[in-house]
This record gives sequence, C-alpha cells and structure tokens, in this order.
Amino acid sequence: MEYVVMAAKAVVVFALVSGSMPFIVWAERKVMADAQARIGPNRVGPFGILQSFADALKLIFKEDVVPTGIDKRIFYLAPILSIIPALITFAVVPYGGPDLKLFGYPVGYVADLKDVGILYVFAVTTLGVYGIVLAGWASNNKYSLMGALRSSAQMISYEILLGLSIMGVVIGSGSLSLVEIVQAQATPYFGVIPGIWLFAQPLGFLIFLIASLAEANRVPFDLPEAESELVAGFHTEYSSFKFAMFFMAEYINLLTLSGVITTLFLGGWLGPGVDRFPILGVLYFSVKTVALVYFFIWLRATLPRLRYDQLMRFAWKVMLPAALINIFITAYWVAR
Amino acid sequence: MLKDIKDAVEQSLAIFRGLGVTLRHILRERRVTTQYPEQRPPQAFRYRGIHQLRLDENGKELCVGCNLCGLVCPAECIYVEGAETDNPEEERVTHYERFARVYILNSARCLYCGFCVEACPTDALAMTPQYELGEYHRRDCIYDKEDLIKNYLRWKDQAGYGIEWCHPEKLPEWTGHAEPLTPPSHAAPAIGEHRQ
Repeated sequence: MEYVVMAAKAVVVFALVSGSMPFIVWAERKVMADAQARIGPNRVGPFGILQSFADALKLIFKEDVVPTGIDKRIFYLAPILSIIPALITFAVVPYGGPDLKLFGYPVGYVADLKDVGILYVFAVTTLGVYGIVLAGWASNNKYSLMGALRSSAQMISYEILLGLSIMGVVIGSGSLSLVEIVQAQATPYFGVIPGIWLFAQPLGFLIFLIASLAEANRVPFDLPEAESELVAGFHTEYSSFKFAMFFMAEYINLLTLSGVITTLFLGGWLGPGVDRFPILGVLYFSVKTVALVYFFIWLRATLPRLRYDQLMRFAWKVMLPAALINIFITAYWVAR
Repeated sequence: MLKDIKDAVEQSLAIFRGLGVTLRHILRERRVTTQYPEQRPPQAFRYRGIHQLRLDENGKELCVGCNLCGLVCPAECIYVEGAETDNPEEERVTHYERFARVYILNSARCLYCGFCVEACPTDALAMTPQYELGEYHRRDCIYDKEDLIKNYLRWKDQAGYGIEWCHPEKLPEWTGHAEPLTPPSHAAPAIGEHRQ
C-alpha cells in the first residue's frame, strides 16, 4: 500500500510540475512584455494564457529535421537526458510538512531521503549537463559544440558553488534531509524574526541563487545558448518535439531550482498557522516558489548576458572564496 | 585593493538599480504596442500606398496614355498602351482623342517611390493610403486600369485623397487613419503577356 501511495504522489507531483511549465513560459513572456512596455501574448485564450499550448501544438506538428553526419543514438538520447533530471528532482522537495496526511499517509513530499536528500538534488541536476553536452557533441555543428563546451565548463564551476553555498545550511540544520532542513527553520530568531536560513545565511543564499541561475542556464548566465554569437547553442540542430523537450527541461529546471531554494532558504512549507492546518503548507510553498520564479523572470528582463571569461572569473575568484568564508563563519558559529 | 572592493560594491548595487528600472516599468503598465488589425498606426498625410487613376468631375478618365509614368518608373512596373480614337467626344473615355487602352501596374514590383505621380502631366495618377496589399499569388498583384479606377472611387471622399490629392488645405481634415479595404481579388493578365 505504501508503494501505491508513493506512486500516486509521484504521478500527481509529476503532473503538476510538468503541467505548470506552459504557465511559467506564459508568465515569463507576460512579465518580460510588462518590463518592456509591450503587451505580450494576448490572442490565445484569456490574457493569452493558452499561448504555450498553441506553441506546443505547433511544435509537435513541425518537421523533425535530422542533420547529416550526426551520432543518431546520442542525438535522440540528449533531449531525453535533459528532461528526465529536470523532472525527477522534485521527488525530494517537500511541498508540505510531515504532518500533512491523507488517509493516514504522509503526502507532504514524494520521498524523504533521510541521509542523502540534498545530495540527491545535486546528483540529479548535474545529470542535466549530460543532455546538453551530448546534444552539442552529437549535432555535428560547431555552434552546438561550442555551446556544449561552454555549458559543461560553466556547470562544473557553478556546481561546486551550489554545493559549497548550502554547506552553511547543512551545518546549521545538522541534516541532509530536505524535510529536516525545513524543520530546522521553524524556531524564530529572537522570538520574532522567521527562522528561515535566508536571514542567518544571506551570503549562502546569494551564492546559491546566482549559482542556480547558472545551473538553469538562465540570464545572465545563458551562455550555452547565447543566440547573438552561437545561433542557439547546444540546441541549434534540434527541431520539432526534440526542441520542445529542451525547452521544457529549461523551464522545469527553473521551477525545480525555485523549489529547492524555497526549501533550503525560505522555510519551505512553513508559515503562520501551518501547525494547525498542514494543508496551508502547500500554499505557502507554492507562493514562495512562484515568487522566486517571478524574481528569475524579472532578473531576465533586467540583466544582460555575461561574457564568458567574466563568468568563469566571477565563479572562481569571487564566488568560491565567498562561499568558503561563509562555510568557515558558519562552522565557527556552530562549534562555538 | 580598496578600489576593487569599491568597484565591486558599486557594480553590485547597479544590479539592484537595474531591477528597480524594470520594476518601475512593470508597475507603470505603459504600453506602446498597437494591436494591429484592430488598431491602426497613424499614417502620414502624404503616405504612398497603392495607386489610383483619377476621373474628372464628368466621370471621364484623366489618363491620356502618354506612358511618362511607365518611363520614369525605376522598377518598370507600369505598362501603358496609349491609343487614339475618332469617336465623338461623348463616347470617349477621356476628353481627348488619346486614352490609355491598357494600363497595368504590378504592385509586387512597385517600390512606391511616387515618381510616376510626379511625372503625370494630367494629374491622373495619384497614390492612396492603402497598404494592405498582400496576395497569395503574383497574378493577383497585377492591377489593371479598372482596379486603379476602383481605388480612386474608394478613396475620393477621404480627406486629402480625392481630386485634391494631398492638398495642404485638406491637412486639418486628415484623421491619420486609413480604412481597411479589400484588395482586388480577380486575376488580371500577367504583365509579360501584354509586352509581347
């Protein structure tokens, strides 16, 4: 029975995460339009909300162009490899507390990996790089390869920061389980300020935020697909539904990373009244995650793309020392 | 070292300033988009759209088929075949013996420079503000004399686009908006066929 519940939760979460993707795309186009004094999609459905579905439908019916001289197996495998990690990361992100029960079963999260929770997140998001690198490699196109090379260098650099920046949170919480990390944020500082890690770990939060932007290939770190210099980067040669899969992976990654940031730094499902009505936790989690997604879109409307050498220098010379300092300070504070 | 830190702080603050700029735009909700088929952009008083062949007050054609427009046309998109007639004046299409037997204008080749209009000695040829000229077939881009006279009939009551084409006195009446019109849908003979 437990497995049935697990499977049901997985299906629901999978459907919600992938189902929200068209709306994130729509929101991005609308917010970008707002920032640029435009209107954005407004023809398909009310406020153009069905625009993404129209686009998806169009993409499916487009010709699937397969270039010559490619490595076919890898070419087909790459989009799949890029979308699966994006989808399965959400398995460990708790969207409701352990108190959230349905028929006596905890439904606040799909799985609580007690010993490896956060490591699982990193392991899986790192797999996403393979999709990009293999796509670039298999495409038999110099622009794709350049995009893939950049992407791998960028992701390896920022993966380290991603890991180091949450060490403070892990040390402070004393656990790798995402559920326990959220629970560690329940006690308020000085009895009034919410006990979320954002306030105790501002530096860690900032580094994690920037690193996850790079991890999700978002502006200002969208070098792998820098359209002004690399055509479309790693997905230059992809068309039709295979392109749609890369596109989906990108936006689901955005949502997933927002969920992870919410969990680690913004107190996940925690909020006023959540201990009496656990269902409120899902609402709090959603609100925080959506706010973060909005922030990322807002950031995209604001910032230009970094140059490649700036990106690498920033990672290794600024962010890495900052992350290390953050760890030492936290360790001192905990050991004290 | 101290300068580096100062620069870094300043540049970091610049990010937040940038975020403030975009946020201001998001909140202000100013829109510059013109929702095209429903709203139309304002047009200049002397906008050069598709041509018209004007008639005079008696309903006679002004064009005498002199082919000056065809000669001056840089894109060679106008083909005129003038002819003369011995008919009595009431049966003629113009007031003169000369008239344009064939007048073909290829809107796909035309670059809307307006030279033809300037060249016209009888002020028969003029332009209209009509710009929706897309067609599915090249053959539909061929306007013959009838089509161009139809353009005149459509536009003659519109301020500034009637007999007194672009007359400065008409400027105050000009609304800056052209009414959408349906382009000719019939198939006219290709321009090459007349050349032979």
